[in-house]
Amino acid sequence: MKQTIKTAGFLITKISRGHLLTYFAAIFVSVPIFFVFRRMNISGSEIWDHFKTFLLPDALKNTFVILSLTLLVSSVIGVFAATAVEFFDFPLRRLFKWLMYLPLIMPPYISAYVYSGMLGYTGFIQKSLRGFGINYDPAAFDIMNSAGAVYIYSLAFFPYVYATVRSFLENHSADMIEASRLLGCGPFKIFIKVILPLVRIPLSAGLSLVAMEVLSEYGVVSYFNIRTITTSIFGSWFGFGDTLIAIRLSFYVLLFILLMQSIDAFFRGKKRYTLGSGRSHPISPVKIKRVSAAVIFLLLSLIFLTAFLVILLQLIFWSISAFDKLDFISTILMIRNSLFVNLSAVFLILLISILIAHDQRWLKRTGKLVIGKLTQLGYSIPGAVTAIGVISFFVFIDERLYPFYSLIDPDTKKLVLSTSVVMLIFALVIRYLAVGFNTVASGFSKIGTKFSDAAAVLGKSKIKGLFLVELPLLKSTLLSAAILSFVDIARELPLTLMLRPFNFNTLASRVYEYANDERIHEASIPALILIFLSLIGIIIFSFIKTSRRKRT
Amino acid sequence: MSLNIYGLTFAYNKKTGRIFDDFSIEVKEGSVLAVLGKSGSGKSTLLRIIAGLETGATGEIHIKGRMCQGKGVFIPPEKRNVGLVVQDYALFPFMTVEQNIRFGMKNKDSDKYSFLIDLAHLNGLEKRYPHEISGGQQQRAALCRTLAAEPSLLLLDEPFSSLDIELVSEVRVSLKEILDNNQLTTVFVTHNMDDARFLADDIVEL
Repeated sequence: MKQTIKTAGFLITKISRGHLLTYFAAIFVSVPIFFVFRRMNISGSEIWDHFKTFLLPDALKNTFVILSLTLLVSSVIGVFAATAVEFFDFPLRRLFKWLMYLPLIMPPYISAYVYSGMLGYTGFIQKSLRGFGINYDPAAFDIMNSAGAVYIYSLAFFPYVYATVRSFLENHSADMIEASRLLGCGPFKIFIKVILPLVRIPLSAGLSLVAMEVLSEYGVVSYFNIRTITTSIFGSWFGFGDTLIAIRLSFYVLLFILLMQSIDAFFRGKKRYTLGSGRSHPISPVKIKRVSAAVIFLLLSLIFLTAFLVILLQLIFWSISAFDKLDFISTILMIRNSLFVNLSAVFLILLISILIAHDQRWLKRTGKLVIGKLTQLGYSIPGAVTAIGVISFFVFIDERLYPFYSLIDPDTKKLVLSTSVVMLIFALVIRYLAVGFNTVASGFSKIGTKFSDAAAVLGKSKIKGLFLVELPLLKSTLLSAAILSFVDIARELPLTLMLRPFNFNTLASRVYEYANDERIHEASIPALILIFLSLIGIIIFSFIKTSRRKRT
Repeated sequence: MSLNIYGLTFAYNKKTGRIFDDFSIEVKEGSVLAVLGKSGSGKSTLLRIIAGLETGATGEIHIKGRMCQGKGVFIPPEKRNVGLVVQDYALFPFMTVEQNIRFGMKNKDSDKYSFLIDLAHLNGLEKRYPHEISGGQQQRAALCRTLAAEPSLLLLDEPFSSLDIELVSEVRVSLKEILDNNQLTTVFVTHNMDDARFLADDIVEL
């Protein structure tokens, strides 16, 4: 009896120790964010007063206009595309299901460079019009304004809405759509009365991702020279060397996001959007008239063309003309740097995600909630803010470690970690942890604790159970998490621009530099490499998803 | 006859093989037919084919003398006037019980609505959302929603499978009462012989 109690006590201590590690990991990756807000108390400065009076109103107005219009347009495109491919029968429906994801791999700043090049005075559109002798107003083709930013963002980010809405429709709506049909409703009534209310939750989830992306994005607004909150954060950092403005702005951004989420929760009230076991069968697509099928086909083709194919073709065309100027050595170095930074971050994201997701299954509700919020924190604030937090954090660490550095090398510089690539990798881990973690956590939650329990009964520790049983089971989930993180990190720009060591170029940073130097043709080669790397990732991801679906 | 099926043949794909091969059945007006069978025998598929939710079947289906499926004929589900209550009930989770029931009503007749609410003992629950009522109440609400649309044929897919064992006998009695009151031609599938004997006039085994 005594022995049993002792064993139980030992087990509890062991589990608690495991939880401690989980909490430590979650807190460690969120510390830099708290570093940002630690400095909120600092009283106003002259720069802040100047900024508040002359620049802030413009930045707020532009951010608000671009954000709200992008949310509106992305939701229209995303919901339309998701409903069309799930609900209606038309030619190439299955192919479009996949094609609608592809714009995700097109970084918005690359789309912006391409569109402004194509629509510019020397671009092929204006050239062709002049060639045909057509009179036109060149101003009509100016895309470098807020409306242009909305266009670029909507086409780049609508797949977030498409993905969340489609996945919800696929998993939860078949029974309800069939019930509506049997109650005598036609497609239009079902769309208005059933689908639109049903997709409210996934739509709001997708839109919050779009909002985070828009608030974080720097390349497009900077290239179009639009003053927004993100460009102001950059401007204050690089222009005035002032972090206070950035800190205050990010605090307001966070407040805004929290406010939006509260309003959404308030209007949702007691309603629910799923019920029952969640078991479902595929929706049988509704046969529609040929004309309607043709209209849907044309609209989806137009979305794919404008959001992906036209940009890709233009990049290929430009890269052929710029091929002579290509510096192979520096391109290979850029690819190496990009892959090194990206894969290191992905590896760390997987490691932390496995550590936390594996253990959080045994946590109580509050613990799960805290861990959940901490892991999402980096993703829910603009990249530029994360960058400032990480810099403050690394400078803080360097200051503490300086005596240790001096012991090893008396001539050492004061800032070691904060001038190395480690800082950039760490920032990427913080920013994209949520992407990998959500996938890994959902995999662990699906398999539950039964395999770990079975391994324990057979005399294996939790760690052994994890390596011998659970990780092999979750191989495809881990690969999916790795690919999703890889694709997101590949197109990241603000963190790389702010945190890369001196003379350290990645594909994304080089594209940005070339485009800003008006060397758009040369920018097309690194841009294409970046897109193809992501494309390979997405193809593998789709393959895993399809084969997983076939198995179940 | 209210429902006639002649020579029904159906397969999901070549791998699974034929679920129905020249299957025929007749159901008399106002009677209740129980379709018994093990898991995977095609019970639910049969209901889905009758409702028009599965395409690709061959053979003929006539509902109240109207050919709904046959050579060159396929009437879509929304035009068949068939009611189907599925295992999970498929109540719209964002609508109250009342909104669910009124959803398919052809005329917004409040007498009909009150009659159904009384019949299913759902009084006082009209303003609640589906997740705020019990499994038995959800089942009755789903049935009311289907009856409110005045179908000419009622299909019930394992009506008791989602209920706790204590609730089954209570719901079975109220379902019997509702079916008797409505004199509606009904096909229900089950794997339980007791349910079949209690509710049905005829039993068919797959």
